[in-house]
Parts: sequence; C-alpha cells; structure tokens
Amino acid sequence: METKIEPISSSDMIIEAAARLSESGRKKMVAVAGAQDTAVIGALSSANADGILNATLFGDKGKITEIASKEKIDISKLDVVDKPDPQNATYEAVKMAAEGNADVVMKGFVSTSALLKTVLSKEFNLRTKNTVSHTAVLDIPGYHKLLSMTDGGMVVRPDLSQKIQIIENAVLVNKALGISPVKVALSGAVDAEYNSVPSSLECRRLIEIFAERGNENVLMQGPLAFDTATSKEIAKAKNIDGPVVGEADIYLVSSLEECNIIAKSLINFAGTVFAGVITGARVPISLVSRTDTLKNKKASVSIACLVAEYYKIIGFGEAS
Amino acid sequence: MIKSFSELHGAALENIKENRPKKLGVIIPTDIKYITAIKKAVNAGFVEPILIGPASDSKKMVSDTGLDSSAIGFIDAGNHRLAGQIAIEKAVNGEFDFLLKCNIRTRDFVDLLFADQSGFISKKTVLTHIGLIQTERYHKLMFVTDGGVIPEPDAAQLINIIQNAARLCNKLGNELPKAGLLAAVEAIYPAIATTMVAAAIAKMSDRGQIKNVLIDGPLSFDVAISAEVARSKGITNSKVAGDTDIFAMSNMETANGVYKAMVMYAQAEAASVLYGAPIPIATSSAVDLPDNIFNSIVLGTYLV
Repeated sequence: METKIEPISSSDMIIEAAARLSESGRKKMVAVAGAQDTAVIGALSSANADGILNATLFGDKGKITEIASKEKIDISKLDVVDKPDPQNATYEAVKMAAEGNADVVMKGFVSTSALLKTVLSKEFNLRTKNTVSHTAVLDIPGYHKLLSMTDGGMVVRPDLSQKIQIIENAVLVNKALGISPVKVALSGAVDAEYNSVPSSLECRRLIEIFAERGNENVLMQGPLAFDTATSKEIAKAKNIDGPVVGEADIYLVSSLEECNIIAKSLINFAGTVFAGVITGARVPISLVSRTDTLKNKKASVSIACLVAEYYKIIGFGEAS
Repeated sequence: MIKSFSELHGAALENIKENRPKKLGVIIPTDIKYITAIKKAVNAGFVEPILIGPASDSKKMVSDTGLDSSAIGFIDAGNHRLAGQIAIEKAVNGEFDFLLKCNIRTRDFVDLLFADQSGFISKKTVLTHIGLIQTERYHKLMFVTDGGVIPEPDAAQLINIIQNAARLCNKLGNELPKAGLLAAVEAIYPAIATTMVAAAIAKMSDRGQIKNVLIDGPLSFDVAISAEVARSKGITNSKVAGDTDIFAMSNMETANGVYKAMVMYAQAEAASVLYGAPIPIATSSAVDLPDNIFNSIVLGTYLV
C-alpha cells in the first residue's frame, strides 16, 4: 500500500524525512564498500547520531579506526567488519543488500566502476532493465522546489534509449520524495527545435515515447533552456507556455559535462545544497565526495534511504 | 586589466570622452528593459542608438521612459527577420559601430547571420558567444563560452572559441589570459571524449602551438575556480587552475546553462557579446535585467 507523504521541497526536508522514517521503525541499513574513507565515515557517523540510519562498514578495520581517531569521529554505534581487501569488502557489502539485510549500498574507498560491476553482476539479481544513472537533487536558493539534474555521473553522452532510462530512474527518485506529478524538462540551449542544434531535435521523440506509454503522473516538455525550465516569469517574457515551464522537477541534460558543470556552478556560487544518488539497480547506491559539505553528505545518504523506502513500498527492491 | 564591471564602466567612459558616442544599431527592443538600459547608456554619453523594430512600440517605450526621442533614430521593421536584415545591411555599409541584439532569439539571429549573403560574415568567420560573469565569490571576471553559436565544437572549433575569447580578454587589458577546458572530471579518460580533446589542446598549448593564451584541461569546475581544490585533487602544476579567465565549455548547452544559472540564482552581474564579426554584437538573454543589458552596451562601446 502506498503511503502518501508530503512533497519534499528542500534539502532540510530530505534529511528530516529520513529521520522520520527511522522514528516510525523503518530505519535503513547502509552497507559500505571499502569504508576506510574519511568523508564516508564522517557522513555516516553524523547521520547515525541524528537517528537517520544504521551502517555496516566493510573495509580495513585498522585504517577505519585510525581515521576515526585522527578525525575524532565516533564510530562506536556503527558495525565494522574487517575486510581489508577492497574486492572482498565490495562483495560483502553488495551481498548484504542482495540478501535483504541492507537497504543502501554506499561507495567508500573503492572505484565506482568496480562497485557497479559487483552490483550488476548476475550473482546478485540486483540488475534491472535500466542503465544506472546519477541524479543530483539540487536545493537552489531562489527556486521554489527541488531540481533533479541528471545524468552528471554515469552516462557520458546518453542516446535516446539511455535518456528514457535516465528519466525513469530520476522519476522514481522524485516519487520517493512524494512529488506528483513529476515535471520533466528536457534541456536545450534553446527553447525550440532547430536543425542547427542537434540536442533540440531528440526532444519531440522522447515526449512521444512517454505519451504513447501513458506514463502516469509524468509531464514532459522540451527543449527548454535552464531559465525557461525554472522561471515562469522568464518563460512568459519569451512567450513560452506549457505544463513544465517554470516548474521543472527534473532537468534532463544531454551530456555529463552539462549536468556536472551547471550543478557545480550553482553549488559553488549560489549556495546550492545537493543530494546525489545512483539509481537503476534494485538497491540505491550512495556516494559522497570529500569536497562535499557535511550537509551535502547527510542529504545524500538521507535521499538514498528515502529511495530505498520507496522501492520497498512499490516492491521494486524485490528480485524478479 | 579590467577585473570587474565597475572597472569596465570607468575605462569605457574614459574611452568615450576621448572619442565620440558610438553608433548603435538596436535589433527588436520590444521590452521596456532594453529601453531602460539604452536610456542609461545615452544619458552617460556612450551611444547614439537607432532602434530597429516596430517603430510605434519603440517610440511609445522611449516616451514612457522619459528618454529624449530627438536623440534616437527609429527604423520601422515589423518582424524579426526584417529587423535583423536591416541591421546587417547597415552594418555592412558602415553605419553602425556595433549592434545590440534584443528580443530576437540568439539562435534565430545566428542562423540569420550565417544565411546572410551580404558579406557581413562568411561561413569561415569565427563567431562565438561569450558571457562575462562577475560574482562576489570569484576574484575576477569569468568569460564563459560558447553559449550561443557552435552547439558541439570539435577540437579545431574549441581552439577558435578560446582564441576569440582571448582576443576579447586582450581588449580588456589581459595580455595573457588563462583558459580552462571544462569537463566533468579533471582526470583524462579515453572513454570520455571531451577529456581527450581537452588534454590534446592543453598539450598543444604546452608546446607553444597556441599563442597569446595559457590553456589547461580537462578541468572540473571547482578545480578551475579554486587553487585549493586543485591542490587537494593533485593538480599542482597547472598555470590555469584556480585562476581561470576563460571557461571553455565542450558544448553550447553547458555555457548557456551556466550563464543563466549564475544570473538567476547567484545574483551575478553579467554581460554578453557575439564576438568575431566585423563589428561587435552586444547581446542579452531573457534572464538579463537592465543592468546587465547596460553592461553589454558598455562592453560593446569598449570593443569597437
């Protein structure tokens, strides 16, 4: 049965919602692959202290203890399982999730590609028909809701079928945030189709595909430039109307660079807080970077917990 | 070297005092915000404008803003295409020192420029869109490019984009600008084509094949703007990281999106220009309010 939750519209609300899950007895377990990583231990310790999650740290116990004591991070409430070999640590963390004992897999001091390879290996049945993609949920001061930009981490230059999957992945993240309908803007440097701008031409096809499938509660429009997607006032000045203008929940971009660089300009210069999560497998994958602020890190692990809860509700996490 | 818009205003004002107000062709100024910016520029002695667009609208707005209409020329043009063509024709005849593109989509205007047969520009002209951004959190102007002309530049076009921006920086007194080729990562991966192209161009720069500009890449955005982040990521010998002037993007969507994101959400001051044609074309985006349009006009006078 679907539990109706209030739409989440800020990074604070993401963190609060994850804490509320815990209070209602649905606290999530995060399994970390290669936990000898300062950013990861710091984020998990702090999120655990706030009651957001429990964590099992697979990794080099000696190094984990050393980092914790050096950085004065309290890990007494986290389970540490000594797996010094990164490959073993990754295997055990993924296995814990595959067996239903962990809800989120988190990347520590192992390569993203090695972690994904394990998650997607046939042994674990965590693979779905979709590619995995990264959704960066941005809390931009001045925008009245959250904006999910995707994909800035996985697919370098998505083709049409990858774009469909990336949208589906991001839609699930948005539904996990209680957002309905989900409004998807397809990016372009322009607001109309131009033969001289290749990315603008694919939008119509994407919209047709989603319309044919009759996807419930997904509204899509594009090409829309960043301003038109996020400001009704500017759209009006440009004489552009439609169901998504000024109200985008998701901004689907055409390249890794576009997503990453626009998001970083907002993070560095516009006080934007972001929560990032990798979806497309049956278990959400969380990753944080050492350059993230503590709030970014907490929001990222929190959103992974919310996605895990949503997967449970819709039965997405169960093996097919 | 000009590091802010207030420095640009000062330098441009000196420049105008020694010369004369510039002749400005204004294309489709059908919003009061353009007239507001133009009024400010006229009153400061920067420009003598001719407004090309629906003349009755233009005249009404001029009178609404209280601008002295005797100082303004009007050419009636009912649609975008006609207004653009008149502007180009008169530019070819030397009647304008520079242009201001207003309420016509940049893409429509760029397509019009390249379709034009009057010889204003040719297929070989390196025309690029450069956005100048000033934010409190960066120590100088950022030149973000190309946000309006070349959707997916190849290596040769990226070099052109950088050199065009470098010439603009030269005009603003920066003799050896620093250009970063931006990517999602600062590592070079064969699987990510943009990083390979960036690395190759950076190597060309290292070997002195590209003059008058220092180039490094690939650089992620945070490495480009922060020497501290660059160091923490092991980038220690870059001449560009942390001190980037020119932010060369691997596609138009990125440059366009960054400009808009910065103006809308980072309270950035900005200006923009289509550069490389025989005369500068000051531009503005829908996100720009009168102050930024004024900046674009002042920049245009300084580039003439």
